[in-house]
Amino acid sequence: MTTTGSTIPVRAQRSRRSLRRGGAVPYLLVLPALVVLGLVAAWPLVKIVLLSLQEQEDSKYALFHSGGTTPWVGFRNFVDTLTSSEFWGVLYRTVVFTAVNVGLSLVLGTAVALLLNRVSNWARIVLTAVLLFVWAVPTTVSTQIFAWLFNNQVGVVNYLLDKLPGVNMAGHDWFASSTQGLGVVTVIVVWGAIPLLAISLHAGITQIPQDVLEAARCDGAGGLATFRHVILPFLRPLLVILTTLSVIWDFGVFNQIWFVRNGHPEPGYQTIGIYMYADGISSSRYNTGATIAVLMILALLLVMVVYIRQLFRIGDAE
Amino acid sequence: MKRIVGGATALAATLAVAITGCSSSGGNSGGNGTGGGGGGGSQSQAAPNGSGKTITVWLQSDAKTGWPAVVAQANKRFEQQTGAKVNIQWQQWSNYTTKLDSTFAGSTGVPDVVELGNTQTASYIDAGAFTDLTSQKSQFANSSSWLNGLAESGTSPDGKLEAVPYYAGSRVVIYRTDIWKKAGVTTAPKTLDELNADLDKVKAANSSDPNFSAFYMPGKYWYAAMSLVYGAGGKIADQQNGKWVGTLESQQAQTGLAEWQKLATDYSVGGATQDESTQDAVMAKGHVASIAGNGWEVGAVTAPKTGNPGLAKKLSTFPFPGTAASAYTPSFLGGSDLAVPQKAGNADLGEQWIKVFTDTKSQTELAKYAIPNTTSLLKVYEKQSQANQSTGEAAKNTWFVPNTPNWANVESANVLQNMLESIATKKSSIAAATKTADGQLNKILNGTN
Repeated sequence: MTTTGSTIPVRAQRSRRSLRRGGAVPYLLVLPALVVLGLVAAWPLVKIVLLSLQEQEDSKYALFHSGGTTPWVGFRNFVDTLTSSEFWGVLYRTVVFTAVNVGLSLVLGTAVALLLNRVSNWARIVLTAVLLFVWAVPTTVSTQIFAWLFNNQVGVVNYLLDKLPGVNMAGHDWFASSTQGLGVVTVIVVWGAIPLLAISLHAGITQIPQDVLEAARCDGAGGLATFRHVILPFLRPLLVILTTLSVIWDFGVFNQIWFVRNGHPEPGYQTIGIYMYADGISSSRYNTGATIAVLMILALLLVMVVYIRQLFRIGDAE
Repeated sequence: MKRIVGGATALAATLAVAITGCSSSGGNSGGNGTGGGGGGGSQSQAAPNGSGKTITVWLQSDAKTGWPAVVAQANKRFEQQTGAKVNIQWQQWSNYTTKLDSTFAGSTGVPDVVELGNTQTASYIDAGAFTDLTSQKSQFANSSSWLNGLAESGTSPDGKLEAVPYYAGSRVVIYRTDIWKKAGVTTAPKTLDELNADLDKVKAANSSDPNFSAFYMPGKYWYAAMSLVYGAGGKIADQQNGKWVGTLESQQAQTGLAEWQKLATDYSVGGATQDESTQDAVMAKGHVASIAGNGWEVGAVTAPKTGNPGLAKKLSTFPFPGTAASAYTPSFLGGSDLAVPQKAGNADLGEQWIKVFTDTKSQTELAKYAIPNTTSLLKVYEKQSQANQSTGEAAKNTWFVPNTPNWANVESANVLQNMLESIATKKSSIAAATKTADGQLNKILNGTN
């Protein structure tokens, strides 16, 4: 952590020197990437913001005949959305869903990473291969498989739970209550998130110098103490990145909910991604959809800024 | 018909045929109104000259799997008449409106003919997305005897013809004759009371099977539920003083929904949170004695790969009985229309293709597989099979969704499906659920949401 303070100026000096030597060449080299980024990322973003500031008309006439330009209405769409109780309900649900999913993903991901670190070579290879396969499964496919597993009539989950003494789960419908249904979705999301987290964190753990771990052991630190005071601090930068990414992914979870409900999510399943799609895109209300999308980006930025600053402060304090 | 075909294939090769802006090519399609109207299939006017051109047609893949020969013969005759080539691009129902929106918003890659579900047309007609075909109406074969539900959906509120009827579907009861017979029921019920009595017998005879459904009724199956609402004299919504008012709270509608709830909770097991898209596969598993479905679903239940061919001889159909022996429960008339987009590069050729594809020859051919667009050919359809007889009968008494551009948003907001699910799961009473739904209908149908 202390070394980062000195490397940044060194790198900056070097780049300043090369800038003097290379002239415009570095800019030219970076230009194609910037153009591509501008086309595929920046322009759609600009377009979304513009759409959110234009009137949501009922008819699609403007969309078909004047390139979608409707009168500018300033922030009226935002006021409309922000004053609807539905939106706040959806946002609350999304935040809780994201917190649970990110928390579970990170805890289980770290646990699997520690396991990978401990097991023998052949077991690690088998485990890694399995994790890669899990990672390779598209969410649409995994969601369909989990939906079958949790099916109330032919699902193997109910069948197995029903075998337990004193449990009557025959015919139990997991999707009748949205809390249980989102629980199933959480299982799918976490299942899909573990591979990346586990493999990255395992890579991080292997970077911890053996002598530090040995020193901890010599000083009498047990497994838990070693993890808390040695492994965790080493992994912190990695954890910050992985947490950030997980929050972004889980906040915008769409496929798993959409397909588990067969394209007709009930109100209790509306997280912000679903809400945006159902209220905006599939209703052909693109201005409303864009407004929700902008709010979604802002909410995410807000959470991330607070979170990242917090973590860097902790890092600095050490 | 918003039938979402699973296992999507054929993501219509995006052969963005570069269509030049406005072409209005050669060809004299000036409507002089001499068309003989009704009967004759062949067009009475010179077909536009399209040599060297290719028109793009968007058809749903139902035709690809169901009646490819009908499409092929129409293409062949069209190509002979005009010299133009036809490029059929197969479409999927899911997210279809989003695709149409983005295509119509642009100016290139707009097809010359599109197929639309008849519940989708209104919002596009309202937005001026299609070419006005009113002056050509008499030249479309059988236009005087088009099925009402389809013809209405293709006509604007001020009476302009903007989309041409293509085909329809109606729903009937599909049942297992072996299971019903074993329970002692040998004749098809003629009233809802008889249906309930029969289902009681079927249920009692199979009480040892916990997964058994005497009548499998998915909790989101709004086409079936609304049929019972209309059968009881109710309606989804009504226009009062120029404003739409949701009428599901009415006594009649609630009576219909109570009957539906009985089917969904007393006779159906395990489908409370499902929609109807999996009911054929569920029936094929063997624990279901009856479903409400389109005629073609008999084929889906007995399909070799996804169904159970062993049931082929055990399935039969009857029109959904009504409150009295004289009246069936009205069936939802689902179907498709064909339209020429306003921005089509070869509008006159597109129009000609529709004329050929919906003429008497094509529709007679189509009547072997689906309900044709005209009452004059219903007999051809009914002759094909027992199921067709029932669906043809059911097609004579149908209901249709409120014909307003905003209806599509009721569907995409799942208003009826959410209401029905809460009734089927008994989370809320019929009175409370219909009150919520009416509130949503009032907002969405009047465009004030």
